[in-house]
Amino acid sequence: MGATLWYPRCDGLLLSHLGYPYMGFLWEALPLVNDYLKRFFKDVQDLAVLCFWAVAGIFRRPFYLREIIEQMDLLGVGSLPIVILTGLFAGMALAIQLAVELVVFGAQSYLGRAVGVSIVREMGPVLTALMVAGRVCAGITAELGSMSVSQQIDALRVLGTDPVKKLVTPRLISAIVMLPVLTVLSDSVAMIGGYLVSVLISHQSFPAYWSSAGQAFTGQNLFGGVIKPFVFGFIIAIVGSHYGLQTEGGTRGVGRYTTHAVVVASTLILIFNFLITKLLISLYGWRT
Amino acid sequence: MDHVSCTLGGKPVLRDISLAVQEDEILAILGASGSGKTTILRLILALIRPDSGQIFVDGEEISRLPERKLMRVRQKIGMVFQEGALFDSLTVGENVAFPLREAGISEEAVEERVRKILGFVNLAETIDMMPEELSGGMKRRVAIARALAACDPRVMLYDEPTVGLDPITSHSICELIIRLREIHKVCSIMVTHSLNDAFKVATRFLVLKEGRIIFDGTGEELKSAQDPFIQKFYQWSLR
Repeated sequence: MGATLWYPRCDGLLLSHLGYPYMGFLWEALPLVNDYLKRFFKDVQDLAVLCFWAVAGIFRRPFYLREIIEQMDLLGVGSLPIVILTGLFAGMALAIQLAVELVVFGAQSYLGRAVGVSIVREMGPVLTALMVAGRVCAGITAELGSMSVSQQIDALRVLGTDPVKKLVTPRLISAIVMLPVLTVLSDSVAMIGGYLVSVLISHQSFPAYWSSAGQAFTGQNLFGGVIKPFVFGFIIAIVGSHYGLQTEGGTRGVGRYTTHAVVVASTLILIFNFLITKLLISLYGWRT
Repeated sequence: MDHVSCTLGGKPVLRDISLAVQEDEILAILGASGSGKTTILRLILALIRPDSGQIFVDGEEISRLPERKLMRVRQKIGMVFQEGALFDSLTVGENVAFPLREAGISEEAVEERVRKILGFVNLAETIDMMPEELSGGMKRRVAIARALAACDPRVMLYDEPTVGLDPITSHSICELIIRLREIHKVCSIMVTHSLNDAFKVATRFLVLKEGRIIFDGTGEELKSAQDPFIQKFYQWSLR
């Protein structure tokens, strides 16, 4: 054993035997960290390239109008039930929580405004985007992933069609158009949910709730509430398409990449939600 | 292909491959799984790039061309993928019409050409069927029809066109490949495991082993080759 201690081995045994077990572990972990970082930066680079060509596809012929309308139907109309249900119950739950707390301060009359600000600024865009990410981002990755593993993407390229323009750009356009629409619908339903709670539990009148809620609908709040889903729609379409086009490893690979896409899209939505909120507050001060 | 080498996933797949295929020739590429047969087809289509060497299609060097310029080059090549790679959301007719519609051809002309080509592969009656309703052999024939519809190809590539098919269907696919050469005068490259099918259609044979060409010649030369691997491959394939 002693004879091998001096030998410059890469598995960390040398450092461990010299009395630095943690450094030995670090030495062993280095190649893994190296691989992980390489994969991460390659992913980021591929995402950036895909973003560029998908956006460029919006302005280049041919324009796949039929595909765009189909995707709007799938993404927008198809997501309506889940988005409405989410909005309704999120609004009701939020109103109950706030009603209980506002009573403590004698500020029940602010319930509509509190619900409105929370829904329009934060909960509406984020909850809608997360629900759509779960449904649509997974769908995009699974569909494009199945096409990848069955060589249909290669077939498109061989037939002289740009897969990004044909498959990704229509999904991107439909996502950045339909997600703001879905968010506005979700916000509206959430406000109605809040109203139901305020009438049935908090015993407020119709004018009291809605006049208070009306103060939440300022231009700045509404702008923030629409710009966020625009960005989230972009994330959902690009992340879903990226992992779909990268899929390999047969049907098992489709499942793995789909899960990965939803996790990454959801995480990015939360990160960008914070960044946009910070940016808007810096720009406007954001007082209602 | 001129001194082409290619690495995939860190593993060398092709090593210093040089080969030329003439017009009116059907080249069969044979070899064990993982020997790099399909990689040659993917390189000719520029779906992947070589590490070194040059690839010419119809006299044009393609290995360094950007993707947008490759679209024009690929219009000279028809490709039949292993499982057909038909678009499963489109009907047979729409699959064959796909490249024509992408090219902006009028609907009347598209319909006429689709019916003509499907007739050529004896599948006129399947025009409204979905790919999932077709047998394996029918899928390959639709894939051939789609490749023909895309253009009047100068080169046809077939990736295991008869794999998983019964002998009668395999024979019909082989006949179709021969008819294509006779009528359209295209040069063809067929990757296959089946020596029987290769002998039916090919005018020239190439054997790959571990990414290198170990044989390039006629069928008669292949039969009498002294290389132990080729002899073993030949004997086992004809069993």
